[in-house]
Amino acid sequence: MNKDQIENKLATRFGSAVEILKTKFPEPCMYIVIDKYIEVCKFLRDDPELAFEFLFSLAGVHYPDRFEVVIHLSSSKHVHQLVAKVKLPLENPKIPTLSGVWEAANWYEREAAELFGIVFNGHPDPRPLLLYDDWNYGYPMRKGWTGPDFIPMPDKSKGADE
Amino acid sequence: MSDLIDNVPLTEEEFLLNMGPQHPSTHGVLRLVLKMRGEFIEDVIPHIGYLHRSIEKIAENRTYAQFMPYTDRIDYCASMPCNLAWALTVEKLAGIEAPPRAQYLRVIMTELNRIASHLIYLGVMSLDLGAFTPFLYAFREREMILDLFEMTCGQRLTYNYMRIGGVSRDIPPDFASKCREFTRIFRKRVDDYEAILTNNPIFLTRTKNIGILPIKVGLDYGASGPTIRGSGHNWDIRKAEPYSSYDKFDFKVPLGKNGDVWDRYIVRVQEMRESCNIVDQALDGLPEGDIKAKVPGVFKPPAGEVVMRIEAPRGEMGYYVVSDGTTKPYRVKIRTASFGNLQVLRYLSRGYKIADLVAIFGSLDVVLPEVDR
Repeated sequence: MNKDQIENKLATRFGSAVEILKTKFPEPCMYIVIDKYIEVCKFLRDDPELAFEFLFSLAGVHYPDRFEVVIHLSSSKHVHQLVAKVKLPLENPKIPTLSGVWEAANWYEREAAELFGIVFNGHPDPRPLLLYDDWNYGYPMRKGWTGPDFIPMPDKSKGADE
Repeated sequence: MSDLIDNVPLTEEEFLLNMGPQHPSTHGVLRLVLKMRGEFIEDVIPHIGYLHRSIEKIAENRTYAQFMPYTDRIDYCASMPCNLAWALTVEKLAGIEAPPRAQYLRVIMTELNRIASHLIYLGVMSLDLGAFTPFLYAFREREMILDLFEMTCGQRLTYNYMRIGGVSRDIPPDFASKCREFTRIFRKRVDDYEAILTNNPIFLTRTKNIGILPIKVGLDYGASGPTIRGSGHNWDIRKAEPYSSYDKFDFKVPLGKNGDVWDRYIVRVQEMRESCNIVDQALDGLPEGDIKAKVPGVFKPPAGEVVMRIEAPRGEMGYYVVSDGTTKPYRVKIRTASFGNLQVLRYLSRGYKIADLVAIFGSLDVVLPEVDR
């Protein structure tokens, strides 16, 4: 299916639960309402016309006013891709786990939980993944993070770079 | 570590065995905690992160061009594809297209690097299984490729060759002849490797019907590249979503049948032959012209977000970039093939012995800096 067909299909099926974003790229891009997150993802995986069987990546993003969990899906059967995003509040970001839909989400969610402090409810193995065992300095991928021995980059934005 | 040991429920017949982080067969620093029942593995718990450098955080503090050398360090066995993926991602975001000559040069370098990377796989995997000769052979041929890279960009491991909009420099005059000589010699050398390994009874016993990966499970766990093609899944980004003029080359996508360790081996061997063909075709059809598109010195891509993926030697690799319109990316997510492939290890190794685990792990061709980033 091409971009328009996928967008139309999801818009008719889920109505206001998905918000299609306009981009110049061939992949459809959309926000999913957090309540329908798992339901939409299961539909994306199981619907024969969509058949997104491959979770390419799952990323956390820290914006000034929100967190986002961004998933990239691909289907080898129909050779199409999809970008789906979920908005989370800055305080207590919580989202259901995707690892029941795609097993690959397991480690991606552990990584996002550890680096961004996003809680994935119902995760089967919520241990930290990448940082060392005694890590006690918060969530390093958040914007403005500092820790011990942290030396910020000199701000060249008004100097040589411009 | 202590909490891990405490949290694994064990019966009287079971015990935990620590493998790594410095075990020679773990190809880097990976720690595996094996839950054993006698000789047989019941569960594998991988511990990664020993090489975590937070490259994604570094990217937020560098300009788009400055981040290019860091991409070399994501996967040091195959730096060119990491370079290429970054260049293509930023080009897609900014709507730049590299000139045809640059695209062909990118293909030549990436495919040579694919051969070099598969040679490391071949050598190290056979070394793990007790065959020492292929290791020496493979590194002998890899040396020839590294010489070609050194001629072109002065580096042997971390090339920093690609640029946003093209490549850093043109190939030297005698590159083409030396490269053709390499492909001519290398095709015969692949026959040598196959003579040693492919039908060797010891190798067959160690690899046939070991670590069988069904396609559905592999996709579910995020496995890609030769790992999933060994199971017979016909999926190659170079064919499905051609980038950098891969659609102009005629090559086959080798597939396995059973998805065992041997199938993943034979897929990689055949991929090396196909890469030779692509390199030859690219040298034949190498267009004249510029090697770099015009990109402003202070490069500010438009605000937005983009995802781009390529077929790296180990599988699908790509970047997700969020741009806020300044000189530096707002967020970079690096998706590497080994991260997905390593997750399958737990599924694959249940019920096998430790010696088989070494073969299975070798067949996944995991490079740890790529997993930890």
